[in-house]
Amino acid sequence: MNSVDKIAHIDLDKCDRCVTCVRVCPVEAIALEKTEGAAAPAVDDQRCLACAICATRCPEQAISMIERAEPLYFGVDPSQADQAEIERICRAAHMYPDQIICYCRRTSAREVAAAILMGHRTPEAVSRATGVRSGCGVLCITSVLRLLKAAGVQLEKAPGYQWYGKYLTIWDLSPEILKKYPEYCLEEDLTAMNQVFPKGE
Amino acid sequence: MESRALQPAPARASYYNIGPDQLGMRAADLPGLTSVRISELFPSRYSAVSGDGSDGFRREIRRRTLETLNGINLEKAQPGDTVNILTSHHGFSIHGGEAYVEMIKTIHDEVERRSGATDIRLRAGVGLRFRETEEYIAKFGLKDFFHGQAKGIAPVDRGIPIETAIGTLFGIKEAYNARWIIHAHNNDIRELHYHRQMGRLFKPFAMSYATIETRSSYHQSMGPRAANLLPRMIYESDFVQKKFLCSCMLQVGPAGVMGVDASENLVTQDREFARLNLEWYGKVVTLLSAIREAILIIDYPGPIPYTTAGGVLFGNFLNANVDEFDLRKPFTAFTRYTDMLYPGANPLVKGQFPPPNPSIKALILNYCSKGYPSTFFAQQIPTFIVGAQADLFANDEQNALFMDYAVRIEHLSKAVDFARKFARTENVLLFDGATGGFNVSHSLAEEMRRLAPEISRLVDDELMPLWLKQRGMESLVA
Repeated sequence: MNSVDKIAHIDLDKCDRCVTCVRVCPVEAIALEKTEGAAAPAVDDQRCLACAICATRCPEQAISMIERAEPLYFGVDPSQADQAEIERICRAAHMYPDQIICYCRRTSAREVAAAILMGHRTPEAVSRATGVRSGCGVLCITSVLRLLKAAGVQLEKAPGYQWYGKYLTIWDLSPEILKKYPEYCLEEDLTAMNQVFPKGE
Repeated sequence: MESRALQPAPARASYYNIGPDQLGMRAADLPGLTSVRISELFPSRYSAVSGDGSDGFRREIRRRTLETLNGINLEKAQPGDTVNILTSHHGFSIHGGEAYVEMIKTIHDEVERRSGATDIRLRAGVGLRFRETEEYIAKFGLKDFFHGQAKGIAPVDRGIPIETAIGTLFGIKEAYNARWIIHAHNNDIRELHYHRQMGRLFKPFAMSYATIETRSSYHQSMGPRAANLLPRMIYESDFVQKKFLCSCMLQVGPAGVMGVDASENLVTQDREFARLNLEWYGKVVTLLSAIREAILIIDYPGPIPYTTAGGVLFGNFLNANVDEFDLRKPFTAFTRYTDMLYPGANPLVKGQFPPPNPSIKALILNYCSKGYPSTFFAQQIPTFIVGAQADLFANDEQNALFMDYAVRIEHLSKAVDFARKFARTENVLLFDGATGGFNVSHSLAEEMRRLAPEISRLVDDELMPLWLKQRGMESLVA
């Protein structure tokens, strides 16, 4: 299991309710809650994985990372999912089950595929389950989307700015494009990628 | 020609660094160090921009920026038009950022003077440290200079779809929310392992001006060389072409800031700079590949792979056992494609990846930024991390497992002593941002001077013709 010992804390005296934090959170840990009077953003302590993306995008610098009273544990046990199906999903996404997807937490494709099979059907749900996307929040989104697509999950766009559902892979490039820009080694890289990653289905 | 260590880049107060008061000592203050200047190793017909002090240097950058902008039709912008000057974090750190900032200010002033447009905004993109350019905006007083219209932008901000010849990619909405954009960038060789000197000047269109899917496509889904098609496609999209006023590059070489160059055609400009970069950096990068063993000390206010020595990066040394300019080689020791296939010490796929440069015998982190996924480095290289720097990494959201692989030592001098015994070498090289040369141990200085003439011949006679030919360029400009 992985764990985090920090959590986002919103200073509501500084917060101007712009909801940037709600829109950028990769695990949907922040939502508007109506307490007394106007709605204000509140952090769900069972969801926040302390990536600090909200803290570093808040225009009012109203969010800080503070110590949790108790660590929050998270993670999936891939052995509890159908191994053959994990293999199939990863292969369809041109991945090995044991390859790294999230460089920050070193989350594997196997963990993400298992989480999808366990019913986590959006990038945010997968992130809450595995921790993927809760470091830099940038580099691994296409791998998550590719695995969800390979598992047959239909996605449109995130509720906020987290992702838009459209991306490109080298396997998507048309034969015309592969030939049109030889200076970018497109055909050579397709060959190289097929040598080091599974070829898909 | 022994000389004392060069002045390292100053410590920087930042959300991403330990406080200057927590930094026990700078590596350049270690006993037994000397320096080797680039000009001494590889005499060049080019010289870095100099000026009489800081004011003189800025005046010279302004003069050169005005001179090159003379050739640009800035009058395409009209009074009442909005103009976004697009910038990226790295420019603000090149040799202290003074030159980049002066170039940006001059662009602003000249656009305003010649076009009559007054709504000119600064948009400053980032890598993976989303507050970084906000810190630079504050440091250089750019909010006031741009009348409040200076803003840091990040890849998790609101996106805008950009239809390209290969499909939909995404830019950051606030980068493009103007009638005109000016691409204010630099040619620094920097992450050669990613751009491979093909499309270097385009890269921000798929990085610091882009949202996460496009950046992730580049790093995980397109292939190590082919990824460089993405920024080119964005630049060539109708969406960008209708807004593109010009590009303006801070010219940088290993010896320092070389000048400023503006263009209305980024394709042409990129080719010109590919040639220049091969000439300016080819020998320095190749020299790194010839060093047989060294202990590296990181002592610079940037993330590990982006720390600099002699104007090139730790990342360049990490990959120096492969000629990264040679386009025949798909995989270098470190890109995000190789990182993906290293769940542990060994790759999942055998025989496809060169190892990280085996000449790096130990890595000592005295001072560097958090906010860049770096576990791969500590997994692959014996890594020692000094004092408070270890606390910074232990609490880094992007390096959850880094300290599982690194050893904490309280004092830099003790870390160096231990690394020398462990690595059995006296060669020490500092990645400390010193301008114009390398800070090194005497033994390594001697080795670099001994190697330089043969490296110079190798590049001139064998490698340069190959690199140029691969890029459709037959010869150097006379």
